[in-house]
Amino acid sequence: MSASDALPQSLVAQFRATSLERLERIESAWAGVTQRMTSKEAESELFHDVHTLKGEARLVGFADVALITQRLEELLFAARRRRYRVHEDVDVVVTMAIQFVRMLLRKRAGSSQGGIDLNGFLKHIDEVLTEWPRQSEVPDSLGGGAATRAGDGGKLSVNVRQRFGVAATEVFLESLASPSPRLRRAWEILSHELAQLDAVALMPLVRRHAASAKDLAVELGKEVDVAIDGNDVRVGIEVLDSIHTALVHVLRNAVDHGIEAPDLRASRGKSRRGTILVRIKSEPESVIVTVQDDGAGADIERIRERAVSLGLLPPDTAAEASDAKLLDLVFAPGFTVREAATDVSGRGIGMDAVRSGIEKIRGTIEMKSKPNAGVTVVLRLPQACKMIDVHRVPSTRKGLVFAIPTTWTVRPSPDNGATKGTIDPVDVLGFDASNRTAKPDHVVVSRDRDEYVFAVGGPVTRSAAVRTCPTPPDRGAEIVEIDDEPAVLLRPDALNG
Amino acid sequence: MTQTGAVEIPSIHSNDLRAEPTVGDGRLELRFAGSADSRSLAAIESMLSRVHEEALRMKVAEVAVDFRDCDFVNSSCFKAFVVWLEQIQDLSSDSQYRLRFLSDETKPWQRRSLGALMCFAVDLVQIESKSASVGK
Repeated sequence: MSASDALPQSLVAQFRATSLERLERIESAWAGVTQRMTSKEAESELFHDVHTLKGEARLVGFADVALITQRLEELLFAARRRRYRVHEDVDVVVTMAIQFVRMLLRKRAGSSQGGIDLNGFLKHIDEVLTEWPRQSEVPDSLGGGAATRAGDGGKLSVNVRQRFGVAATEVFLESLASPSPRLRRAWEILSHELAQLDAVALMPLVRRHAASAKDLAVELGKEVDVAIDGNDVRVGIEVLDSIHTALVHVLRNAVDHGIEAPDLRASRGKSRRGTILVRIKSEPESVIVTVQDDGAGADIERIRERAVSLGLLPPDTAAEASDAKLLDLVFAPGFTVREAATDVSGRGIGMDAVRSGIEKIRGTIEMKSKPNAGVTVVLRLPQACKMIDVHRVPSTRKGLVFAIPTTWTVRPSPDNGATKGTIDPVDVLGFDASNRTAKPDHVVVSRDRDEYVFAVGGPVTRSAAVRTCPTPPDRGAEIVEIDDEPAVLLRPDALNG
Repeated sequence: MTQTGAVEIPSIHSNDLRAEPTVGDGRLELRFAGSADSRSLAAIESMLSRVHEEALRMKVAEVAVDFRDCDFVNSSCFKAFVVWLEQIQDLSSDSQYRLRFLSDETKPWQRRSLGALMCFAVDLVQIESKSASVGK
C-alpha cells in the first residue's frame, strides 16, 4: 500500500477543528452527567461524540487520539454503569483524558511529539479502570446496551472480555490447587487469546508517519516516495507510543540524512526520486517493522571520527571497530555526525530516546547500512500485552506469587505483627493449608481510607506485570505475568469483601 | 517588598484552600494546603496566570509547586494546571521553564493525578515524593 493513499491535509485540518469542538461538548456533557444536570438526549450525545471522535481519529490516522478516546469511552461506560456516582479520582482522569486528546489534536502535523508520554497516560487510565473503587453495580438502565455493545471494530466488548478473564483466572487457580497439565494448557490458550483481543492496529500510525515524511521531503526540496508493505498487524497499546517515537526519528533521519537531493542522486546514477519502504511483518513472538531507504548510506568514516571526538571510543579501538559496532553508536546518548543541530533532526539525541523507548517495551532496534545503497533500521517489538506497575508479593504458599497494583501502598506492619483482621490471600482464594510458610511476614496494604494487613511469604519488591487476562474491577483476583511467570493480581478491597 | 516590574501574586485564603507564593532569590514557589474545589477555581486560575507571567519575567528555570499539605484538587482545578502547562509548552524552548511538584506519597491521589499530568510533558514536569513505600 502506498502512502499516497493518505488523506488530504485539508481534511485532516477539518478533523482537528471538528474534534476540538466535539471535545468542548464532551467536556461540558461530562460535567452535566456527573452533576446530574443533564437530559438523556445530552447523555446520548456524549457517547455519540466520543464514539465518533474515536472512529474519525482512526480514519485519519491519529492512532494516539483513537487510543485515548477508546479508553475514555471505557471510562464513560464504567461511569454510566454506576449512574455517574464516580470517585473524584475518576473525574480527574476523565477530565485529563479530554485535555490530553485536546493537546494531541493541537500538535502540528508531523511535529515532534517529544515530551508526551502516551503510554504512561494510558497506564494511568488503565489503573483507574482496573482499580475502580468497588461500588454497588446498578442496572444499565440509562443508555442500554453498553454491556453487549461491540467495542472496537467488531471486537468483543470490554465486559465480555473481562468475563473471559474471570474464567481464565478460575482455570489458573484450579490448576494450582489441583495440578494438571491439561488445565495448565487450557489456561495458556485462554490467556494467549485474551492478550490478542487487546491489540490495536498498527497501520494507521504508519500511514500517518509516512505522510508526514513525504511532507518533510517536499519542505527539504527532495523527491521521495514512501511505500508501505505488509498486513495490518496488531500490537499491544503499550508499545504504540514507542513505535510512534521510533517512526518519527527513523523516518526523519531517512529523509533528512539518508535520501540525497535529486541532482546528487542523478550524478550517482540513481533515479532522482528516493524511496523509503516501511515493511511490517508479524511473527509468533514479535512484530517486525523495517524502514529501508535507498539513500547514500551511513558515513562510516564520519561516525568513526565522531566516536573519537565525542570520547565514545579510544582512537585505536575506533580504528579497528567493525561497521556494525560503529553503527550501534548512532544510538548512544548525544551522538550525531553533524556539528550543529538542524530544525529537522536536531543533534541526534533522538536515536538514543528511540532505543531507550524500544528497550523499555522489551523490543530491539538495529541499523544496517550499505554505501550508496541506503540504511535499513529494523525494529523488533513484542506481541501485544498490557503492562501494569505492581508490588511483587511472595505468598505464604510456596510457588505462588501475588501482585498488588502500585495504586496501593505496601509497607511493613509495625513489629511485623499480625492483627485480628489479618488476611492471608491464600486462604481467601481457597487454597488448602499445605506448602505454607511457617512464619509469615505481615504488611499493611493501604489506599486512601482503605487499609488491610496481609500475611505474606517474603520481601515485597516493585515490578512490571503483564495483564494477560483482565478481570472486572470488582473481582478480587486476576492472573498477570511477572518476568514471564504467572502471578495472582490482588485487588485488596474486592478481595476482602 | 515588591521588586520593580514584578507581578503581584496574591495568596489564596478561601473556602478550604490556602495557597501561598514565595518569590525571591531567583526562586518562585507555590505552596498549597487544604482542598481545592470549584469554589476556588477562579482564584487558582488567576494565581497561575500571574505566576506564569512572573516566571517569564524572572526567567526562572523552574517553578516549585508544593502539594504535600494539599488534601485534594478536583478535576476543574487540575485542569487549571494542565492549561498552565500548555502555556509553557507553547513557549519557545529557550523561554520554557519546568514545573517541579513536591508530593506526599502517602496520598495516592497525588501520585495518580500528578503522574498523569507529567505524561503531558515529561520534559517539563518533575515530581518529588516525600516518602517511599516498601519495595520502591
